Amino acid sequence: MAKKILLIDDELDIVKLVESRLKINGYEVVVALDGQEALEKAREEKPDLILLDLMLPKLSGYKVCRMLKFDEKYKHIPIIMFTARVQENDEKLGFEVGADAYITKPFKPEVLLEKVKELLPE
Amino acid sequence: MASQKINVLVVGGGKESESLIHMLSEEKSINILGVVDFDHYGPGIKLAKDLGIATAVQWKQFLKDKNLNTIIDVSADPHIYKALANEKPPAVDIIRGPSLNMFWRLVEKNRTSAEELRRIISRVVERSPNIVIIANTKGKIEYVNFNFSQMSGYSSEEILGTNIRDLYEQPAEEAKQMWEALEAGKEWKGEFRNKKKDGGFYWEFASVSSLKDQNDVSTHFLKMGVDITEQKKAQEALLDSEERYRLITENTFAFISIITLDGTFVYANPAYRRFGYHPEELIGKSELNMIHKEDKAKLITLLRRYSAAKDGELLRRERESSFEHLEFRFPDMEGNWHQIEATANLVRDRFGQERVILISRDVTAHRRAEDVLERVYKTTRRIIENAPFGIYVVTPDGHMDYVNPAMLKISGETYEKFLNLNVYDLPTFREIGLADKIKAAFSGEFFRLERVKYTSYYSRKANMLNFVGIPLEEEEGRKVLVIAEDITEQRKNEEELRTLNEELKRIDQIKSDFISTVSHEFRSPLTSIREGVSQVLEGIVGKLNEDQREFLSIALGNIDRIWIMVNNLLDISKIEAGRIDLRRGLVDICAIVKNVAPAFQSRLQAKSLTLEYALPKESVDVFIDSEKIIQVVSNLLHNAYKFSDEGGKVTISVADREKEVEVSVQDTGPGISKMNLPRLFDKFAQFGQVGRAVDSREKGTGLGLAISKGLVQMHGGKIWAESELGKGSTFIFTLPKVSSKLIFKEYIDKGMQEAVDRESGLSLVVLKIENYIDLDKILTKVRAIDILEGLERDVKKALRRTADIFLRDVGECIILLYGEQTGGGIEIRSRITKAVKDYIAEVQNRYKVTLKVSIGVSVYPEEACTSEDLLLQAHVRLKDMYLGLERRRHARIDYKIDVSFVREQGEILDSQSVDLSEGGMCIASSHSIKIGTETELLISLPKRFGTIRAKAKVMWARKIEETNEYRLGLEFFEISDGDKRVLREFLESGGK
Repeated sequence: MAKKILLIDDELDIVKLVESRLKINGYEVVVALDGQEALEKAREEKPDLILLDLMLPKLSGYKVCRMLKFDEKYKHIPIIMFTARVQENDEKLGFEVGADAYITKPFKPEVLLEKVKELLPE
Repeated sequence: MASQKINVLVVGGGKESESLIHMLSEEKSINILGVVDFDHYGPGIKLAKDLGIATAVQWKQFLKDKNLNTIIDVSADPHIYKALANEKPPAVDIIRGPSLNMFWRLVEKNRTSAEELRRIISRVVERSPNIVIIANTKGKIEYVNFNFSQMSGYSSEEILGTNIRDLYEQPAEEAKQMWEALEAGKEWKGEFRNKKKDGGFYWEFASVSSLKDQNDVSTHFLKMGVDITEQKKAQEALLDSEERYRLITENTFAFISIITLDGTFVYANPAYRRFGYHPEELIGKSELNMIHKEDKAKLITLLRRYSAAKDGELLRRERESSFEHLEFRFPDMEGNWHQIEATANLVRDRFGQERVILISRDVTAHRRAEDVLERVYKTTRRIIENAPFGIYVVTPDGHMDYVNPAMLKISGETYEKFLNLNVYDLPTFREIGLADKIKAAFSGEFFRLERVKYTSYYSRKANMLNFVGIPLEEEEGRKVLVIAEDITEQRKNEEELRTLNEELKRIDQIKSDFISTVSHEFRSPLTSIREGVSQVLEGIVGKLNEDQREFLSIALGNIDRIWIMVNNLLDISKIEAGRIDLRRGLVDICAIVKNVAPAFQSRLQAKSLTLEYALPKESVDVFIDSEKIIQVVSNLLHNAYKFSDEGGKVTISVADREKEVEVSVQDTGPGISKMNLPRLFDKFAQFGQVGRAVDSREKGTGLGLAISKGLVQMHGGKIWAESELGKGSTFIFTLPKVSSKLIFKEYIDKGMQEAVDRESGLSLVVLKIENYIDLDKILTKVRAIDILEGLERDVKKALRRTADIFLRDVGECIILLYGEQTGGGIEIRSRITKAVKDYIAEVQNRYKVTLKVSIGVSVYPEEACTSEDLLLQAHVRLKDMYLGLERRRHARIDYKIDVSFVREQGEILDSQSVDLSEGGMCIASSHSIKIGTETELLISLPKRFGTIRAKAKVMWARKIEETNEYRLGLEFFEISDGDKRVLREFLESGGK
């Protein structure tokens, strides 16, 4: 069964391209366009992995991550921060709220896919 | 007789005179004819004037008055008494001294008739201080008064009847004159040397007159005298002193002259010989005319004043001030001018002539010295007066002694107001601590008080001042000199500079922010462009022909160029804003240099460039942020590649120096002109452009060297280039060697600061390879540091986080985990433990060596609050992560089987295994057993296998807090072959 990835980004261009990239590699993709939706989708869809942008409308990526990682029910889901924010502090903050990986945009497809593969449970 | 009044002349105008006049004026029987005082001054004179009594400075007119019968002398001056006694008509009585007291006591008491008074007065005479003797013309004494007896020692009984001539000595000449006068019926006055009964003498000034009967025939002589023994003695002494005075005068260095009021010499002392004059020659000459014409006026003025005083009634005050100082020039015999400093004094000589005594000094040499001093003083004063510093002098009571104009200007006070200030009283001085400092300065301490805000007391002018205090030793005692430097302007300038600086910083910040924002904003569109192009290029959305593929490749190459540029821009803005944190670890710089090269391999080959290394044989470990240094080396290599011509050579060298490591990248390119060398590392500086077309990969951003410089400098190193046109270039950078302790402390401090700022925690994990040194000896293919690096790499991977700090030292590495607290960190730590265990197993399997790793954790703020303590606590908690033999050779199975084991005391405990392998087992126990203990085990395998026996050693023990039980690691060291076989079978069966 294909692993399900929740892709969260408010830029439709990016959503479209990344979704395409993931699907080609055999993943099922669920999309959320803001923080609120991201939380709902994460709880409803029970994805195997979450690709999370940080600057999101309604609820920031940090908050989404924190809320999921501090919830016993969802903390097992690996979260990759997927963002254009490249400052070291951003990254540090990301890990503090429980992110499992941090990938900056623009990205090299192979780097993204490798990380996704690494974090997905067998 | 009864109606005869007592007509009195009072001599003296002082206080006593006043009360006397007061009393006498109330007495009807007494009439005051007049009051005489030489000065015509005093309360007595004043009262007399008020009462309409005649007053005068001379008694002459009163002595002529026929009515005068009594003179009362209250002048308290023996000379006056003497003169009065000389001049008064014989019939007039003089009363003075103690008798006077008696006189008015009697007057007051009796207030009797004139008759009575007469009697009283005769008693007064009896009691008078005058020595009164009455002898008949033959010299036989008929009366002596009380005072005579007192003076001579003879009682009146003894002396009466004796001859008066036996009582005194008198020069023959005088005796003759006296008798002649007396025979002529005249009064004679003179001095007598009288014999005392005891053989001594007393001097008497007496008047001798004859007393006549009604027939005008002399019957008796009256001798009335005063005791002048004391005066006589004084006179003799005076003669002595006069002689002395003369001697001094004659021999002194001072020039002493006596001149008349018109300036003529009356006397000149021998000192004048030093000017070449004979003193006698000067007499009669005009001193006034001799002195320098420019100075004449001074003496003329003086003499005129003296003359004026002489003519009028000379007031006491004026007489007192008759001492005058003056200076003039006086010529010597040869006409050289001498500066003379003189004291003039108006005196009256024995003839009553007004004379001026001039006591002079030749101060020419003095003056010359003084002139120099004066000049020095003037210069000093001018300096002080014009000094740009405020200067004032404080006396011990806190008052100001002196203030210079600069201080007045600084404080805005007037001279008078400033001198009115008291250092100890006013808040102006107290509040800034100046008062205390000045007080201390009086005990000899210098002081300095800097950058104080001084508000003047009256003007309220505020300045920023620096003070310096210097104790001064003055003749009149210690004082404190205070120097004040006004630094208000200076401060203002500093302030302006600071504001300007801050403004610049702000602008710089805006610039950094701008660059940062721009580079961020570029990222999202760049992501879409790159991913879109990338997917098309990969053929995901349809097949491409060759041209399409090539063009899209070009597009992708340039997209990546923009990406790099955006990254570089961000890097440079971070470097400039100081927002980059180094993640230092102990790294072999040689390894870094070698690792960079492969990325360039294809490009180097394409240009037929050879890459050579010049590295030390030993590894060179330094604390650096390897990522950043890789970036630097990459930049330099990229440049070398870019500017090298085909077939050239690139050499990378590492030199291990005492305090630093030097890395250089040398190329055989065209070189850089001297002119361009200094600006090579500036932003956007692109020099020596490759003289041919380049593709996107070769083009730079113009930021590479600037970033490299920033990164090297962050490490405390230096970077520079050496080049010569046509001979290639060498880029060199150095990295200082820093101690691990320093680095650890720096990082932990920083981590703790961040934890404090975010109100989160910080965990410090120490991973230590206990047999690190031994490993280096045993291992052949790899080095111990590689093992440590591997450990770090695996743990890092397990953490799945890149933000944590890894620090590597010899044989150990330190991990700082942010936001981890005791509870929350358990999961993270179990991940670490797992990774470490896996790694140990891997190493042991691969290299066939025992890898002993211990792990220690400490948590801020729960367990330690300082960086040193955090590090120490982690090391104290270091625990051996002993894995047991089974991990080395055998697969472990998690299987719960019953185990009994014998404790030291022979006690048998039942327990269960956690896992089991051929080499040993881990058991759960309610009791702890000391590590190293040997024990016997009874292992109850499932029925098919039965129970086996083994001797084992306790290798580790750990308490499990959650269940309050212990885990014990046991390693079998003695087990029978049969049992061993059974165990193997059981394990191979997978526990089924």
